[in-house]
Amino acid sequence: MEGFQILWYCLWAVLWTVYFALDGFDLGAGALMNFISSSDREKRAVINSVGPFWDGNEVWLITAGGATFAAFPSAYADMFSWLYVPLFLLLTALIIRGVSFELRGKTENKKIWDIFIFAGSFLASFLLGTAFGNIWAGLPLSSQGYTAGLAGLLNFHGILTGICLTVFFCMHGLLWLLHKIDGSFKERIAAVSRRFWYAAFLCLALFLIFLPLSKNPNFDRSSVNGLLSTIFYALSIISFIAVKKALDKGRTFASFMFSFSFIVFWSAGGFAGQYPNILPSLDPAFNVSAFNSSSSLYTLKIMSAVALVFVPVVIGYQIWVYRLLNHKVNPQDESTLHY
Amino acid sequence: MDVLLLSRLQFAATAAFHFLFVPMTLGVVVLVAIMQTLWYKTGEDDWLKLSRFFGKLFLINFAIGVVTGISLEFQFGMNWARYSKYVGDIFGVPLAIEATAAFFLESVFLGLWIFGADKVSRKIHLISIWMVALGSNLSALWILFANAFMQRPVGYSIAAGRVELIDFAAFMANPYAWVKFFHTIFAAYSVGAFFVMGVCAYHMLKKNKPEIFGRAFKLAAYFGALSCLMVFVFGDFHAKDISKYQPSKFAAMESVWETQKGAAYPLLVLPDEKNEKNAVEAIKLPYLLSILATYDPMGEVKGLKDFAKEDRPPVFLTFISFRLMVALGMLFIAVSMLAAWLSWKKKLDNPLFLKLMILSIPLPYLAMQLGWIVAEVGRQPWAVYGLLRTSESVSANLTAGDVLFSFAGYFIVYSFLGFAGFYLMIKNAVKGIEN
Repeated sequence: MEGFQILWYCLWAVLWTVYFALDGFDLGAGALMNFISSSDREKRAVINSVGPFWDGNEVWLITAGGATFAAFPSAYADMFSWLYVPLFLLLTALIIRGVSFELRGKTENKKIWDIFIFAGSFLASFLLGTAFGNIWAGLPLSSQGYTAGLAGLLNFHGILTGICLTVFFCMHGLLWLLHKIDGSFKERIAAVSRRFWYAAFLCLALFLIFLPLSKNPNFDRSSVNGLLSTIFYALSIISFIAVKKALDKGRTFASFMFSFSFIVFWSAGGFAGQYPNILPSLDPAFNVSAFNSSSSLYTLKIMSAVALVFVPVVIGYQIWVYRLLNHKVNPQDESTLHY
Repeated sequence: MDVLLLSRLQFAATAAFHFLFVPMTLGVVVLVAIMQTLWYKTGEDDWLKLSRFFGKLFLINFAIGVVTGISLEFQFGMNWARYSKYVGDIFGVPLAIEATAAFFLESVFLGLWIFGADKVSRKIHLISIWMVALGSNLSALWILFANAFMQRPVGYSIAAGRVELIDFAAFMANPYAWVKFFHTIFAAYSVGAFFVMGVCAYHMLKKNKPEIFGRAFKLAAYFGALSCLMVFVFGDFHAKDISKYQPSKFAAMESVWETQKGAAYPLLVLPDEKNEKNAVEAIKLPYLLSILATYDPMGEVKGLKDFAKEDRPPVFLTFISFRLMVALGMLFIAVSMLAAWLSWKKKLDNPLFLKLMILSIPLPYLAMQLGWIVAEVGRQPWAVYGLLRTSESVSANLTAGDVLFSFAGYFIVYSFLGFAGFYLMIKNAVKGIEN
């Protein structure tokens, strides 16, 4: 039983991690679209760069939600009902953003969709960061659960992590655009990318100094998962430096892939640190963990079989489709713009 | 207003809104895939134009359908935390499989279909639309398996204050789920068929490329006639399952108060819930109700009075929705048969008939909504039939203010989306095929 609970904790963490690393770039591109584009064509180039992929990326979030429901129903119920208002805002942000990507190109008045794409992408990134900043630092849980609402999340660690994730996603998005876009727009994106690398550097430094995990009373640096967390954070720093190195050499795809691994390791550091808790509590008596919130052994076994078969298949065809659609988008070339 | 009532209204409203877009997704994607296949096989330009034209309408519809689905999956945990804890061991399974095995397929290949048209081979492009169709149909399968567990729970045992899955094979073999799936999926195909027929009829009436639209009309008419028949067949099977496994729902659907054998079917009924009888009950067709419920003319039909008052669903709403849905379903068979026959006889130039087809577009949407009212209102007061009450399902920690805030937010956002979506669909549908 314990083995399957650990396995599902890991899968839960993997689903969130992949979600961050994939949807992160289209959230970042969406948040910055209005600010880096100097014409409607350039905005369209941004949308066309993420257009084929944002929906498939977002399904990782849906799957993380579904997997939490199936493997840790009680954690799913607690997490979502306790964080009701922030979660509602997150969903609304994702709704208006997604629909704007699809409908903007089909209407005359683009302004409202531009605002939605910015507001939705920015708010979603910030709220995700804020929520996980609080989770990593530990939530003030009591026998009533979490009762502090949205305001309770907007503390130092929450806001810091919210800003961090937003800036990381922006950098990630810029690097994706740098890889996808051609023409004079590419030059400007490259310049902004470098600036965002420095912003992300500052964020990462502050995050590691004030490390939300170190506030968490459950976090034990010398335990196996504590060590693992430190290793993951170290790897994230190495990846982060590699982003700049690759960027300086003009190896745009490599810099995107290093940014990908940076986000993977950065979130893995958090998830390893909070193990085995899904909702860590400042008072350890109220921890919601993989061990006290899971489904029955039988259900975990069924779900393991499902994950074992489908997750590799999904990853396989998702990579295949990314490779099929590896063409460049050029604002000057109408034939590369669908939306 | 309390948390329970607000949460119920919010779930009903967001689910109903989502389901304005889902059936068209399920139905039109299959028709678009068939059109594209015909182009692939015959090389005829008409089919390419048609698949692109209806593909565009499909995409507008899909965009709203897919984003409004997100809020449903999360609402179980947000508003129905006690429900989620009680049934998550089983209910979470089909939801997680739906995301893993269906949503990915749908979303990843839709991206390929939209953006790959001139970048991948015709064959891969064709496969991608079929993958979207497969993904969306599979997602319907899994979500209806989840829903079927709420209607007729199987494969579980009760342990540690919750239901636990003990037999996945039994869960998957639930006949209630399979019949419900086919009933729903064919209903969605009918929505798609009537949509395509209606849009084609508009252009045929306007003499705007009538030959091209006539071809799509014919395809949709055959597809629709077959689908409408299947909706009826599986609806009949479904009624038998309901009378067997959810007798209180069946009694409310037919407004039956007294348990009886050899029950007649009154064509005219007006329920009087207060006095536990029907105010009007006329034109009785002998034995028909027993046959509809059990196949057996002398079969027993349970009456509402057999159930304690607190165990009965709202009778009038369940009854009237069911009657209207059935009446519409019969109408659809007649209209789609007529459409198929006129297509076959090549007599699609009657303006009155074409106007009828345009006006029919919203009716299958309405029938679909009515069907869900029967399914979900008729299940009350249970969240899981016989196991867990809706009133015991709602999250314990929420305040009315929380739910009012989200409900107001959904109302504003969805009103905008609904307006924008239907406006764009109508605008693009009217525009027709460009040269």
